[in-house]
Amino acid sequence: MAKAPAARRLSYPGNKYAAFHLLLCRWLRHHAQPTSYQYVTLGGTEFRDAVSLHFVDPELLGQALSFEGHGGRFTIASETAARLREGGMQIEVRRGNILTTFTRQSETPHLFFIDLLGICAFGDYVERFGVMFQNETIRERDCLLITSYLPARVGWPRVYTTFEGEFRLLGAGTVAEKKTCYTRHHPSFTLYRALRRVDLQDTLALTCFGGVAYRGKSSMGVFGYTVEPGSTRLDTFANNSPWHTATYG
Amino acid sequence: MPKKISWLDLEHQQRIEVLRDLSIDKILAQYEVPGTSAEDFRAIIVKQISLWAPKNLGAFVMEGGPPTKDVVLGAWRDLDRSEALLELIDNSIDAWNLRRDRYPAKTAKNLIIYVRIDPDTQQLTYEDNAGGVPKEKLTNLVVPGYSDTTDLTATIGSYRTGGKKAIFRLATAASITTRYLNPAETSDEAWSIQLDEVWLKAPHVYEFPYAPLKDKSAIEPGQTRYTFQLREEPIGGTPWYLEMDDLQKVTDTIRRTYTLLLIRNPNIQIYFHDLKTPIKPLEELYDFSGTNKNGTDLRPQQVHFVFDLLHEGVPHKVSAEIILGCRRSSGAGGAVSGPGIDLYGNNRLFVLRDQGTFAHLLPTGGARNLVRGLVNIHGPNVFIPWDTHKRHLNPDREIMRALTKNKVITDFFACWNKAYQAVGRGDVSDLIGDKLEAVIDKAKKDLFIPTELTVKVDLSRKRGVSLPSSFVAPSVNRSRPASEVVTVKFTIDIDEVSFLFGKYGIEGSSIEPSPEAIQELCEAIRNDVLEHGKKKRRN
Repeated sequence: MAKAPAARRLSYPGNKYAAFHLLLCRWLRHHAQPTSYQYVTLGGTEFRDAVSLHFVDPELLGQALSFEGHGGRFTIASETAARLREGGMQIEVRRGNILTTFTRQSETPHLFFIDLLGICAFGDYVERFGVMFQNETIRERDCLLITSYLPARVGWPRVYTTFEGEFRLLGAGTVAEKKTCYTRHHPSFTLYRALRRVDLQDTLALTCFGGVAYRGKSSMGVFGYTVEPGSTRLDTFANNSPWHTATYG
Repeated sequence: MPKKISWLDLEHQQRIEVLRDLSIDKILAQYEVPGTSAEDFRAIIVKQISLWAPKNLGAFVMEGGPPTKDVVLGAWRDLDRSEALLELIDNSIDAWNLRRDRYPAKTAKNLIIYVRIDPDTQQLTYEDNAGGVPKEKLTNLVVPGYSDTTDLTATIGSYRTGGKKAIFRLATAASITTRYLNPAETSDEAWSIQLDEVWLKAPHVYEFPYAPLKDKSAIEPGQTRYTFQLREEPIGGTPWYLEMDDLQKVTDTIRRTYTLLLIRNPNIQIYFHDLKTPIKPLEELYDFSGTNKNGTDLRPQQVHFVFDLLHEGVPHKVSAEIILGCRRSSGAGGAVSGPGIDLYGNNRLFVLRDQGTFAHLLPTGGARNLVRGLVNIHGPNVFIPWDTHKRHLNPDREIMRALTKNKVITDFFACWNKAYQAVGRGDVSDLIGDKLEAVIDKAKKDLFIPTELTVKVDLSRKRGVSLPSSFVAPSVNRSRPASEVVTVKFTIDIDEVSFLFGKYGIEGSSIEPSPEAIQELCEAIRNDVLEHGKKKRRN
């Protein structure tokens, strides 16, 4: 019988943390409120993101909650969390999935780091984010940081047909414009579709405060969003988001 | 301070002159839209300047005339003959229902509709006893746009054109005889409208001739009778009414369209070509699973979602009746018994087995074949999202936003979605094969639906609402005796998941795979391995 692969520590390249920190800076400068945040993150074993937040301001990181679905990594993550708690960080690891398992338990604004390795488009992300908006898992005063794989692994023809409406609305006509538009905005497409799916586009105002491309094991991007009361229009939502490339070394 | 002039009181040409001659600030100083802020009025003016380009206009001249009958003249190629008959039946039902509401004692207890065709004269006679039409309303029978139906009546008729189109569709010449049953019994009048070939072809003629009947006994009080000289169909061949397939098609359409209405109003009787036996409801249309055993309850459920919709700024009560259940087969089914959601307006079917409108709320793949149900909108006809022929859905209507996105309503679909998905995994015949104890509840004059619930919905609340606690979701117990199953467990890492998703064409994130995607992967691996093993054995 084949042996189960051993759990190993997950480590990420420096570019990813550079991109994450840059985006965090934009949020702190332009959008963050002087209050504690419930930090909710997706998996990992080292919690370097949470450690960074704790370094910026222990008061900012009120409490961190990390979801890990992999049994072996859950054990490693729990050990890391125990060590960090000894250093004064409030961090808890839960078995499960941020997109399906997490239920909000406090009124404290939340900072979500949805650290995907795949594409934040296609699949069932529209449905999942829609449910999170509808159930108020994500709500006003929250911040979302989402990573996404940038190349069109599904093939450009599928991208063109799937997002034809978005491209028309945003005035992306040529192939080059469509490619750029998709690369810089596809998580926004997903979030906007999620809002529309549950009819909340006139209830919640999403702002994309930036997208940062970085080179990890592959070409990735991290995107930042704030959620406020109001309405979201895709054209202003997407067109007003600054873009930056953070590839060093 | 001088009183401002209402912008709404100006005619178009006067507004254009003002827009051309005055600056926006001056317009705001001299005019107003009562009840509108200066800021909003400014926005109106800016839009009007953009729309009309007043500074580039010379002197106005007037052009145009009354519309022609072309819209209804084209009905001969726009409607099929079943649809034309449905339009007449719709009108009879509406007329009878409206009269029954106003004058219950002076309305026939049973609405009886006869449709018969005389092959010798090639004439079709359509007759009802819905009350007849008084002289002053004869226009309602012939001229598009004239009707007793208003937007806010809970009728089937909606556009005030249907019966007229039916005449143009079916006839080359027509006579319409009606004897009004005056509720006050102060008069007894019978009239015959005569529409000859010339009138039916003339696009500009709306006036029509009519005459009193000398012998009123030719028609019963309260009756209306259409006699159509039928079009030659097909040209040069055996007439359609002598072909059993064509007659069957018309019968099937009538039966399907009014099944729910006939179940709920047994006092309505429709006879087509067989003047002894009225058309019966089509019970096969809703062959729901009645399974209720061993922790599985798939019996259909009916929820009336009641909410307000605005029409011209005024709220009106609308009820969306949604019935969901499970089919007794996972096969694709036939014309009648297949999967899908039927769409109704005031109990009248307009889309059979819709597969797209609620697709985002229902399962994909094989489990989709388990879906059966209906959405029936009760209320003012203006809110029913059908087209003029009542055969298509207009998905852009406001009510569709409520039906497809409101949390309380979509929660009901979500409960059934879970049930369909649970049933859809593996062998289904044991789970869904049981029949309901009846299709029709004759005492209730309704479909036999064991669970019924009414839920008030505030459409302005899009979060923080859910189905009432009294609602019990359908349940599926998939467990089999432990002796019959073996569970095989193994672990794979993210890279392997990614590889296998690619290999088996499974969509979704391999990093954060959904339970459905994992289940799909498990089944793909299981089927692949078993198939591989069988091949090896054959070799």
